[in-house]
Amino acid sequence: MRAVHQFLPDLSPGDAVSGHTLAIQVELRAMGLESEVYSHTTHPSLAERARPYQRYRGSADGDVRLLYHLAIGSVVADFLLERPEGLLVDYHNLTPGAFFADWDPPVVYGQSWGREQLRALAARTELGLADSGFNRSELVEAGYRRTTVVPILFDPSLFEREVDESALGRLVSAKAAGGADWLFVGRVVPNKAQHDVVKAFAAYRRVFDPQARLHLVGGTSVPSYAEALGRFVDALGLTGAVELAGAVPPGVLAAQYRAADVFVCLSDHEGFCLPLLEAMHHEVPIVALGATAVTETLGHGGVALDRKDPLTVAAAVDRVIGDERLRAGLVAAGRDRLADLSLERSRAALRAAIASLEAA
Amino acid sequence: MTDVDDGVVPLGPIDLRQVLVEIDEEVARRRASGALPPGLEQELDATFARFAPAATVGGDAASVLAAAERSAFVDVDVPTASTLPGGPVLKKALRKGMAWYLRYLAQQTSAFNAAAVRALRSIDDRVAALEQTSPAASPHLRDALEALEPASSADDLVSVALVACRGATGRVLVADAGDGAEVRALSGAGLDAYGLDPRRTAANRALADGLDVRVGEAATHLAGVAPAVLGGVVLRGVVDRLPVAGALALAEAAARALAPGSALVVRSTSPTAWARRLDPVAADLSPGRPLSPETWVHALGGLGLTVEGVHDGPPAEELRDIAEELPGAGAVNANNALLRRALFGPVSYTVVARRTA
Repeated sequence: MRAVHQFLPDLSPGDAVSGHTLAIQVELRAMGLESEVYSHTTHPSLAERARPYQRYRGSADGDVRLLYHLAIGSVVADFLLERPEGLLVDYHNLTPGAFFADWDPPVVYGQSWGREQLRALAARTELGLADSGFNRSELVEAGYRRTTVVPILFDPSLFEREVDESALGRLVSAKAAGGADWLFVGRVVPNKAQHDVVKAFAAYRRVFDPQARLHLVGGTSVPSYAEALGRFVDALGLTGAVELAGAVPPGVLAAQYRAADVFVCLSDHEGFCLPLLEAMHHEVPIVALGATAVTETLGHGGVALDRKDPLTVAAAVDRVIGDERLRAGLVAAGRDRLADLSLERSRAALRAAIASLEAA
Repeated sequence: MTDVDDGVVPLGPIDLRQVLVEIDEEVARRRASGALPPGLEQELDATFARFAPAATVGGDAASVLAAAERSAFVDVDVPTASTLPGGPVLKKALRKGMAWYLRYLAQQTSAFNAAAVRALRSIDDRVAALEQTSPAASPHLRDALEALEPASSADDLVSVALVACRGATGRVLVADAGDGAEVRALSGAGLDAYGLDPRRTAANRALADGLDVRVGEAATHLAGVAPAVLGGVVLRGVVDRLPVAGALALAEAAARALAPGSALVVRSTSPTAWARRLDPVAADLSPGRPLSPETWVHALGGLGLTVEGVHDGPPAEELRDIAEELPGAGAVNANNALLRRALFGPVSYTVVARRTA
């Protein structure tokens, strides 16, 4: 095999799939393979890293594979279906459209289109890659014959390179007034259920800690949900206690993790949930709803709840923050889980997957 | 799980399952102590519902129609704000240049949307008119059915439910909780119980007593509960007033929500007592009527539940016993008992079924 070129709908900074794609490119090149990235849309800051997919000229020598990252419907998938080269699909999960139906109907179309393409690509795909066992089971269900798990290539050292000291100073000085800092990181979209985090936080302030603060970090692709969330926070009188930080640069994100006392994830649907690993890396204990791929990614590195009524979540957070032994145990377990999903192991899984193509 | 190496905190293996059990116990304690105002969780749901699309939060038809009306008009005057230098000017120029084309399309789309919403509004009005004439919506019938509900101090149901739900780790739901007698008893036994009742007055009375009883229908609530999380479900009252299909669908939803090993307790008025005590007009026009215990045993078995038993409720009181001291009282009362059993049977019965692991 001479080359593995990657295709994806959009390449943007701060996006887990985009980061994973660029990390794979580094790894493929380290394996001595040619590897370029082709996308439909590219953020200006990454313009040098990707080419428009229409410019891909192809190769007829049979020594080239095309790796497609699937997380939503895209014309890129249709383009690849017409290509003669061998195909690989890296499946990052499609969030069920029902989560978006009432908030942003066009997204439902993108998701159902993606599911059709997932099935259409199955017959043409040599090997299906999945971030998690949860995603792999969906690949099998969609008709993929050969599948393997290659976790997201997560490089925690990126967090050490820059920490926004000004942001960290602001967060630390707020701590001086007392109260715990809750954190959740993820796009502000209905399936991540930030509104449930706010409900639990309101109960926590009422019952356990009136000085607590909540930081919700992440941009949005569903403005109606983000707007409703902001109005909800205002209506509860929590404007000063809840920070809707939006998308933040890596340095600010690192500061948020460093200042957090607990990471609370109440997502109803996740294909992997990279921020769980980020929290583990920063030794922030995790309280999460054990749904979809969260349970698998979390392992024993956090408290996985089977329900998320506000008082249960609040009580779990209070326990994790107040019980030093539990907190330390979770942090240690998080380190173990992080080791399971380390960059080295994920790279090895990727190498093995690529090598299996040579052997086949 | 490994030990931390900083030596600050002595660590042993942590049993996360035990931690979850302790969190559940803490939640139950806090609820029982009133630390969390019983209405707070409802208030949080209601507050978010004000800002969410109607359908997302189970809004009624009127709210959904109002939302459709608000969205019917297609606005082609797109915002022109931009963070890029020159962006607003460029966007304004594009908007102006494309307006003739987009307005032509948008006017047709808006006209169609308005007509469609008007048609829906008309259908809604006609359905509402039909509902007004439906027996199920008759206030007379509703009052008669409400009068039939088991007394709030249904001691036999409480004792059956307490045994059936003993040791439950998840929350225990009581449907048609009324004034909260069962919720109070279950909470008093250390269970994390909560109730639902569609009658606002009854639910609010229970709430005022410090019980976690919220206004709502069991079927709607159970549709939103995650699978296998509840420690028990007690269905009372509601199964007497639903049509057969609705009652069975409710049982199915309850079975789905039960955690393995948890119990479903169905309390029903006996069909004979129901027909005898209800106003004949109300009985004839009722949308549903209680099922026989054999039917519940059959239905719950079909849902994969293991039926543990059927418990008779209190006997009917149509034939009153005479005072014990009167001559021949023993024989008369014994015959009364036989007649009661043969003619009337118990007023109610309770079926207990369990979801196996």
